[in-house]
Amino acid sequence: MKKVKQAIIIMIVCILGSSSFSAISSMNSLANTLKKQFYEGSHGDNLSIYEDIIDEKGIAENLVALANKYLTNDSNVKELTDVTNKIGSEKSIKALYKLMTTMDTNVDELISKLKKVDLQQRHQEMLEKYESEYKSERRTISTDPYNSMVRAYYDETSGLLGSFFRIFANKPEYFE
Amino acid sequence: MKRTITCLFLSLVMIFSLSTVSASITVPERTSNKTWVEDYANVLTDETEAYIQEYSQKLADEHSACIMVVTVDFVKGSIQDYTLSIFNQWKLGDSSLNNGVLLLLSIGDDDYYMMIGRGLEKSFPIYDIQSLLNNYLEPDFARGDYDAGVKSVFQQTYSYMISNIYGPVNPGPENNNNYGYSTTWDMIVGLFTLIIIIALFVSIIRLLRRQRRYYEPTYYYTRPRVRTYRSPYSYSPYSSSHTYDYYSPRSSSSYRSSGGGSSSSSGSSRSYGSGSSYGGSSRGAGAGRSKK
Repeated sequence: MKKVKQAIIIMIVCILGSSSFSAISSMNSLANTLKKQFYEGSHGDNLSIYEDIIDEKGIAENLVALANKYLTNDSNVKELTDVTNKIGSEKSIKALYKLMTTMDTNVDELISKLKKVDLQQRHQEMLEKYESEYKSERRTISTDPYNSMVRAYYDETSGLLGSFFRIFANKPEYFE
Repeated sequence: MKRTITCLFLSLVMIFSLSTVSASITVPERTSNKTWVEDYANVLTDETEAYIQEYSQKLADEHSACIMVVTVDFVKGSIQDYTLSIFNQWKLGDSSLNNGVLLLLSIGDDDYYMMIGRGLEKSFPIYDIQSLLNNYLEPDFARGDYDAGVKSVFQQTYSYMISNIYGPVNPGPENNNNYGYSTTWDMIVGLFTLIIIIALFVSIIRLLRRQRRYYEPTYYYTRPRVRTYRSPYSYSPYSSSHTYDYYSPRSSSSYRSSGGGSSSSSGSSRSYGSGSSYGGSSRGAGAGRSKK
């Protein structure tokens, strides 16, 4: 009788263990898929939020180079330089969002300052180009479905057991 | 030995700290190894790009050379450093012939730069490059007509290379294993020279110091043998409790020795110097230092 009980206990433990393990594994897999979507795009084609941020960074750097020709000791230029240096090495999605919003604010302010300066024809064309390219990148980022997918993940794992297993699994970050 | 190693180590540290290491400039990604025009500034027309691509590819296929044209809005740092970074990171031209040509236009900086590989230095002199740029790029560049300027200078550069460098009379560019104007090889040669000089210097100092030292005797190990100690006092010399080993490697009464392995006792050579020994109370038995 004892042996039967022991066997039942062991069986239950094994079933619980394996189901917990598979639950956590599937959660991790989903979280990694979301992360990959953020960095590499849904099909691995680099049409992703991260690549858009990198493109914005490139535009911001060119804007800084242009501004350095006309403005001296500008605070927006300094802050943009600082932010663009940090973006390349930042790993956290939340932190990237903060850096991106700082970059957006400073780019807008810098563009409005440069519009008031008497630029050369060539530089004027460049400024217009950067402004339109930056707006296009911003629009692309805002329409990306990444955040809604993260929300769906948390909705699906919102039950009692899901919340419990989520403690042990990787959690995707919102880009906001 | 320790001093030599320390000196060498310190000199290496000094050299690496003082040497001018080129900063790691981030260059844009090249589309592919067979793309010979990258218009990041978007100033060239499709026709010009296709023209450059076609003729540069022909140059690459026939002579392993290339003329790469890159346009950017701005460069970080100096245009020369930026051009060198692109040249080296994209590995333009043949690796052994080092015959690449790179024309970089920085539209926002209102500047341009043409760089050639080391293998072309003699056959494509700097004054010819300057002449091409002054005559065929500068007029259109100053007017803002970058497309016309690039096409014109590219055509002239291509014709120059075909007629002066790769023509039937000209033997062609010389072999070189370096890219661009890199000074890495020079640095390595200089480093080795410095190491050799330091090593020679240290060896000379040690040699001079050694000559000034007084000569010290060298003791050799002898085969251990038991000898009785004849004491002037009342001991019985034949008692086993009064036998002493002249040499025992595990006992405290061992003689100092220097030099190589043991030698059989000859007893015919002399000892020099003070000849003090550890442990035992007698002088080193057997051979001292053999006089040469």
